[in-house]
Amino acid sequence: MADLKALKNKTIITVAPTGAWPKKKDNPNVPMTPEEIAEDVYECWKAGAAVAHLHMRDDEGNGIMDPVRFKKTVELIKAHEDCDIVLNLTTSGDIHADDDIRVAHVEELKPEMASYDCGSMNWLNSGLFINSPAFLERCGLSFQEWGVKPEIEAFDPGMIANAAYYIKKGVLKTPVHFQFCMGCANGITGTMKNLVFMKEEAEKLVGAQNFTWSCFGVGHSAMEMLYGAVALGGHIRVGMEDNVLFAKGQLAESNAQFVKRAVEAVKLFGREVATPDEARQLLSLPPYNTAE
Amino acid sequence: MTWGAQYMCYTCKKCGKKYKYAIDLIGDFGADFGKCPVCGSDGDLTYEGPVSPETSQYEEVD
Repeated sequence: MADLKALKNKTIITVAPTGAWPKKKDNPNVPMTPEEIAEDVYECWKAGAAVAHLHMRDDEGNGIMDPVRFKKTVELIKAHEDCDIVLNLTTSGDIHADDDIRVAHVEELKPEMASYDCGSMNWLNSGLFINSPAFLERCGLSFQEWGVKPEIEAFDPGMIANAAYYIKKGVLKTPVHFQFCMGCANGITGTMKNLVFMKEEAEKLVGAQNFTWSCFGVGHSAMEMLYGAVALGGHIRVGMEDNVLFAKGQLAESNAQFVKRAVEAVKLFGREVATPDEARQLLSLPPYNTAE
Repeated sequence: MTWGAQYMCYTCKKCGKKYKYAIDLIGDFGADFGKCPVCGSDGDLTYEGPVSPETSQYEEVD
């Protein structure tokens, strides 16, 4: 049993290096190939990231749910024998992918974590981001069977309520981990008031002892959400999936640049950055198995 | 899966200035959202999208 009291001052930094939308034309430093992503993740781990949330791209840079690329990337990351970063694979890297392909790599690779987008919404004001009840039930139950922890991405408070429903139904097991996605088009805006509201909604609906949470903000809310999460005792996510600009008018040089800034923010606040092993304890994950 | 900041890009009907507003700031700007930062006139919405070479052609209002 993890000594969570000893870890209460620890902040988990998750890096989301690629995502599904930015291309080299938008920022030439976005890692796209398995080789680029693996090296990027390794640099982020060295900088202080404890969790990496991964997406794949095809040769044209479009998001793709390709089990072969996921496998290659995971293998390349694990080839760094000193790197014990927690891997979190997306189930939502291509809005045109069917439900089977969205989970195929999770079933095959059984990562420690996988994303679980807890509701449907519009995508970029131009498409649909579908997470049907059948898909969410399938993911929740399959992840339990496979030993994969869902990272519940909540783009609005309704998705927290939906998670509470699936907990009651046994599809999700507590303690759950939320990723509050703030400031995305069609989702809740990224303000401190809204972040506090999301946290309090989770406390009310799920119970304060039954969840951990992280957040990020896109665009203007990026820094506000980063500092807000640190101040409220949450965890944080950074990376080019959410922001290709490091500051106004300044393209990010690397994902490690974001991680280093997050590390500084955590330390300046008086908290400490969680190692991957500490993150596993905070997230109720099993100890890292180097034999895998 | 997320998508980064989204912009509504305008060309001023009066002075021709090209400018953009991030849609997560609609609440901050209220009725002024979409106004030209130079002359205050309404603009024609000429492009929508994330941070990209296309939206970089427009000056951000924030």
